[in-house]
Amino acid sequence: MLCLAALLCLLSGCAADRQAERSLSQTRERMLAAAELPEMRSVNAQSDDAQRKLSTITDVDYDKVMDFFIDYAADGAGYEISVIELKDKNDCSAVAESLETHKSRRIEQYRFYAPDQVPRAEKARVSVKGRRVAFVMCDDVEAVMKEF
Amino acid sequence: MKKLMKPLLACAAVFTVLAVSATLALSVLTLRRVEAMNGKAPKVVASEPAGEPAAPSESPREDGAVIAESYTVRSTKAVSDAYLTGDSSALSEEEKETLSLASEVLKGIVKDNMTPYDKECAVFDWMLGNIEIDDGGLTLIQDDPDAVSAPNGVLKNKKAVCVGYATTFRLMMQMLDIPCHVVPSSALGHTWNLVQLGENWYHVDVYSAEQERDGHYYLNIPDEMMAQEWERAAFPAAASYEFCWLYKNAAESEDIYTLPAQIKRQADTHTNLLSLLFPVTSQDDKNTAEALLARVSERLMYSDDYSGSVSLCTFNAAEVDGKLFVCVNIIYYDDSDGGGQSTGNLDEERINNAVVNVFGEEEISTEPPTEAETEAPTEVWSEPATGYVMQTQPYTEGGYYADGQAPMAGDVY
Repeated sequence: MLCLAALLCLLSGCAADRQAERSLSQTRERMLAAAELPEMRSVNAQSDDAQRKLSTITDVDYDKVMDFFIDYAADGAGYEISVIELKDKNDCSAVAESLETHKSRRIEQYRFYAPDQVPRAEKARVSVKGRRVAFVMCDDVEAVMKEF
Repeated sequence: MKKLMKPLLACAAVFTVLAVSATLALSVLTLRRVEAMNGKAPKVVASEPAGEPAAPSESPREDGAVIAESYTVRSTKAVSDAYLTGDSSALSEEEKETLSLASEVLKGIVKDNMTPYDKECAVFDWMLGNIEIDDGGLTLIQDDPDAVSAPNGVLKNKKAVCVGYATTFRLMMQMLDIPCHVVPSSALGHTWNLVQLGENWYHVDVYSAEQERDGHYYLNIPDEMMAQEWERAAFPAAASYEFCWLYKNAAESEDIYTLPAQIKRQADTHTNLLSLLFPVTSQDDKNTAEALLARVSERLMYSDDYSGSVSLCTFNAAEVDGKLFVCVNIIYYDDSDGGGQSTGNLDEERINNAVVNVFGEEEISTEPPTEAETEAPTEVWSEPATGYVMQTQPYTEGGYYADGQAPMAGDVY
């Protein structure tokens, strides 16, 4: 009985993971489709050097991350759509704070190197939902956040 | 005895529950720690022995700084030390390659009889002429950030972001035994250099210089001319103009009231840099110069005549060695190679005469006359209490009276 109970628990955990993975992927597709975007590049948890790439936008301990994706403009313009899924929702606020810091730094970079991107960067938003934290920088932030 | 049993049993039960809870909690914590340690080395936090102050850093707040969230400033001291000592045995293969590339550059541009300032200028000019700004520097995630931010990549690919310019310049300065820091901005969005020449330090921003047609504005400037914010407490102050390129190349000028005409000429000839030395040192003279500069700058940027061509006009006025040093940097929308030149070898008098003959020295109002001004004149009186003569003849465009007479002294417009 104990073994059966353990087996059932294990299977439901795997199923939940698969569902979450599909959901993040579907979430990404819906968010990207909601905005007019230039040529974008994309990285996620399965990319080479994923940890370094994620560290570009947040200093979260990589061990706390379940999954993520970052889509960003190929030419460096102010378009970024990222979602980070954490293992523990209690870590969301710290990650959200680090993404706000990322937003501030990006604004400063644009102020010096590409002032025309500053207005869009200033409209960028961070949002928390469950175990996920989103960062959206584009022309129609609200439309993209609706799909988050 | 029986009466004591119940409370004793109750205490034992409470104690047991507390003990079990504590054990369980300890087990959970241990389990989490083990999970965290699995496959990963624990973080080691260096701590200072109690009572001993931290040793001052050789490179305060520069090496290790991450700029634009992508580019790390890394020390190249091993390479420059190897150059100075002639011993490269301790270098990695990549460092040896960097040493070779940088040595080749210095061999071609630096002569033994050059002063440190001359050597610095040679490196600065070489970098401006041979390294391009990397267009993809703002892309959020770089596949190979070192290719444009470390001297090895910069010298091979001839492309750089600000970190690449700053670290490569620092490397070559240190190879020439000229003290040099990489300075990160407070917002960690930009880097440039501080160089020591003689007893004093100077800011050098090769990246910003590369963005302008004549970038010598950014060669050896003091703190007050630097537009960025940085952690001043972590770096030496730069308070001298002695080796400031603009100061060393300034032209002598007698009258600060010729500033508007000289700046107008600068704008008309599409010249980026103007640097002048005036033989005046009082605070009033400095204030006057700043007032003139501010008004002229505003006219250049917002008037119909120049707002379409002048993108930015910045200026600085400072007392240096008993003279007033003034510099003006104009950036044009259509900056392109050729057409602009710094002052120093121009026939100032001839140019001035050519412009004055066409435009005149005085500013003439070209505002069209109002309806009231074009109506029939009212009374004229010649005994005003204020000492001014009120003339009410209608004006033509250009500020002259309808009868063709020039405005008289004392007239009120």
